[in-house]
Amino acid sequence: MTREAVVTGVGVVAPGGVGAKAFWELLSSGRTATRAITLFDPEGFRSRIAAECDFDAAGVLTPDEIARMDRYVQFGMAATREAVAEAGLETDEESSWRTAVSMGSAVGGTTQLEAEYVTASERGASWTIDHRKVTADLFRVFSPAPLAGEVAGAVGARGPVHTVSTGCTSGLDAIGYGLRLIEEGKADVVVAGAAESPVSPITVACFDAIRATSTRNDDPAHASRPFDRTRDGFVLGEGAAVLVLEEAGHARRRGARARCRVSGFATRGNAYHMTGLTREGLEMAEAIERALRHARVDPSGIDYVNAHGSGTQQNDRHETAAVKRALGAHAHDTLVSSIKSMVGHSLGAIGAIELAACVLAMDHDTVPPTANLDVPDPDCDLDYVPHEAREAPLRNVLSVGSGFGGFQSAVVLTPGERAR
Amino acid sequence: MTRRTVVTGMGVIAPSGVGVDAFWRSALAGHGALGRLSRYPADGYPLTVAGEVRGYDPASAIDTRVTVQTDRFTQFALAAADLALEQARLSPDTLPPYSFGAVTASAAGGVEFGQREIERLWSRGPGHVGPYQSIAWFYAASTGQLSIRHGLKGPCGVLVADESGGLDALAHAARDIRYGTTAMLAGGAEAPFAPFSMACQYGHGLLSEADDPDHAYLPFSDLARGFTPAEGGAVLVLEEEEAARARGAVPQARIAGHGTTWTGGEPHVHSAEGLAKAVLGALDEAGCAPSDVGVVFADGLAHPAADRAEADALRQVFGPALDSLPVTVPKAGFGRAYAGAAALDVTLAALTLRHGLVPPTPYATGTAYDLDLVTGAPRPTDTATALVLARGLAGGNSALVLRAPGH
Amino acid sequence: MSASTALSHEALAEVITRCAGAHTDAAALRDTRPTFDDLDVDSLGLLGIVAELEKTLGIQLGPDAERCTSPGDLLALANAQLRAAA
Repeated sequence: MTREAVVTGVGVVAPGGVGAKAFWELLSSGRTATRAITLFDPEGFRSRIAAECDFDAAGVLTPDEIARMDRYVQFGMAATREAVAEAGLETDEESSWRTAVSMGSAVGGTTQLEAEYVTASERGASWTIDHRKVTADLFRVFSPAPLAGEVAGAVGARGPVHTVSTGCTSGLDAIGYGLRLIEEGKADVVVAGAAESPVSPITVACFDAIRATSTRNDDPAHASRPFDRTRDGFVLGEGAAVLVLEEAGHARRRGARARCRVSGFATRGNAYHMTGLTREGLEMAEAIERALRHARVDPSGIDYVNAHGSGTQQNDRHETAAVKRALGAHAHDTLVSSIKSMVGHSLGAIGAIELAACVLAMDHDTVPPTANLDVPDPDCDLDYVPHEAREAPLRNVLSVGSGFGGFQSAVVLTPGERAR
Repeated sequence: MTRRTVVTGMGVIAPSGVGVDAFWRSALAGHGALGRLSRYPADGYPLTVAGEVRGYDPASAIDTRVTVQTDRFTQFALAAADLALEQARLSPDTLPPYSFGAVTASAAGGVEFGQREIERLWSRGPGHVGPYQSIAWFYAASTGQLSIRHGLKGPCGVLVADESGGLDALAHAARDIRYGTTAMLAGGAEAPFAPFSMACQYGHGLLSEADDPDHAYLPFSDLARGFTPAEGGAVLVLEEEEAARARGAVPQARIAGHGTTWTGGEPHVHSAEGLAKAVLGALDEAGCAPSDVGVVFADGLAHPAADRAEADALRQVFGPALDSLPVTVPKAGFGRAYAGAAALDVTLAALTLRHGLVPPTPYATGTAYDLDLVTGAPRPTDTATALVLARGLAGGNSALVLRAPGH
Repeated sequence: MSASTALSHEALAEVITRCAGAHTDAAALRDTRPTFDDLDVDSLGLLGIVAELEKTLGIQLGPDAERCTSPGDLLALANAQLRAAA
């Protein structure tokens, strides 16, 4: 008997919308949350725009948690609390060992690490560091592993707890790994998601150096332009999303509502280049085909493709080719959109945020639009749902991601009750 | 029938030896490879003793076009993987596309490269950060570079993890194999010795501040005063057993079971129950009884409460049989290489099953705990089952059961 | 180096070797006129080379430099810009 994973809770912290409800309002309205960077002074940087979260930690976290946790961990905790509350999840002595956590983050605590570095190195003047000037508990920030740890502590999980860091596919992969923990019987509940707060000088400078981010600094609201011919790079974002995954029978027995199933996952490497993508997208197509087979969904059954759609020239071409290869003629009939047009690209977190968007889209039978898609690109010739959300019955939904290292991931969501 | 995972190749870059042969000889001799930290001026810092890879530059194994875009932690992983593939006699291009993947674990990432670039940013300005920072610093660098170097288009995974996560990464690769992949490069390698990276870590109080290498890292001793960190690591070639045998490969050991739990960081006392549960989970997956286990590669954090918890966990699982169960901590001789430590321990466990010798715990002269700690000389064994334990500072407790091929 | 000094084959070869890890020298650049592909210098490598030249030459080379397909083209572009700036 195959064990299936249903989604019983969703939590989101996203630019323009903290909480799943506000997040969906933003997405379904087609508004964009990209703006001039406020988290630090971006003077002198090439790209000076980002999608930032207006997040008030005091509303959801204790003063001690706020003091202890880096911004991305705070996002992750807020999303966790929302998801767990919706799921009505409670753990006891016995179930705690059957509760797992799978969280993703690409760059972890770099924001706080950078701030501490600046102090301890006297703004980069010294290679050796005055260690007495750093916070004593900086080891909690040093690697992103404490993200999963904090989430585990908050939900009382004592089963498998891990942090995934596959760059920009971290969010999809963390949820995909969670699916496997349930399928293999390693856990009955997995709190799975991802969090990121990368809007800091070093990360912005990183992407400046490789011309990956948009320089539409005079028009931030229209800077993230997936699939538009005038796109000039992605817009950095931040945020978190968490799904409560639960073995279907476990959810049924305790009367939890299954919003949908996470039914397929695959990831592949392109073995081509750390940042470059091929025109053909064969490896992403392979990941999609594998995920569909895992989900036992025919390509023609996909009603919506939530695209990686970062808004770089190469990505959107690559991805369009991959979707066409994997879905065949059906690619032109299905709806495709990129919410990065509205909430930016939050690196490791975005895959989880996009899956949260997919769950909400299925709930509402509505596809969120691709904002800013004004000028068609002959290389990108699918129906990207420009500007306005579109109502459509959504049964099976595919979300794809692509990241540095050449990683290509795909997750399939299907209705909560398997068609019998 | 479950698809089983065997180890067919092991590549090691450790402070105590490069390559399996040198590493194993050194382990049997109980050689201590800890020394004065030299990667940066260590005077005035709490940590002065470390396990450093000396007399070998991983960059020597790699094309300069790749060395300019990689941190030392990735170079260790690439060099170790080359050695593992060589031992496995496996050329990745002989496998069908998408059937060979990679998974690595890292706690530190590309800290030395990263500190150099962030220094440029803050001392000279935004335009001075180079194009390779974006791909050298992040945790996924090693898996991505392994995939590109060897044309691996199968599943690519990365866990951010310390010691326990290193074991989890191997288990993750075994899961990929159960899900249909034929072969995986799996392991971890670290290069944590950059000034800022280490400055982040003094606060947790578990690093040994001893200035004498002979007395720096003494797990299960009443002189235990924390652990000594190390660089390096190991990458293994893991293959689906039947596919490995069909191509004539010689399995070194089988990854038979894995269990992991999380009980939070401090206080370590909670790790006793968590570690015991992890061991029972691993044994259950392996289809083994506790009495099958013939040797334990302990976590050995060398912190009194943590050592106590580990000894208690072993007692919970093994009962009176623990009195005569050999327990060893060979990494006392070369330090804890974070996520690289687990793959090094698994390598030693595989060699133990193959050669019938349990390597001793270097620098140790005895134990303050109720354990049969192997010290001095290697201990003969005819066991077919080894247990490897690891805990992470973030609170993970993991256990891996390794069995001799055919068992 | 002042903005008026021309970029030499020697200096360019040194930057290519140091920044992109592709070993080459002035004679090779002059005689065999390799492309960046021939040298196995990828797009990131070229970005690093251009950024380094901009720092040492003290001028902005612009997006055209990042699209050069060979060291010869890059050398000509840099020297044209240096002359224009002089």
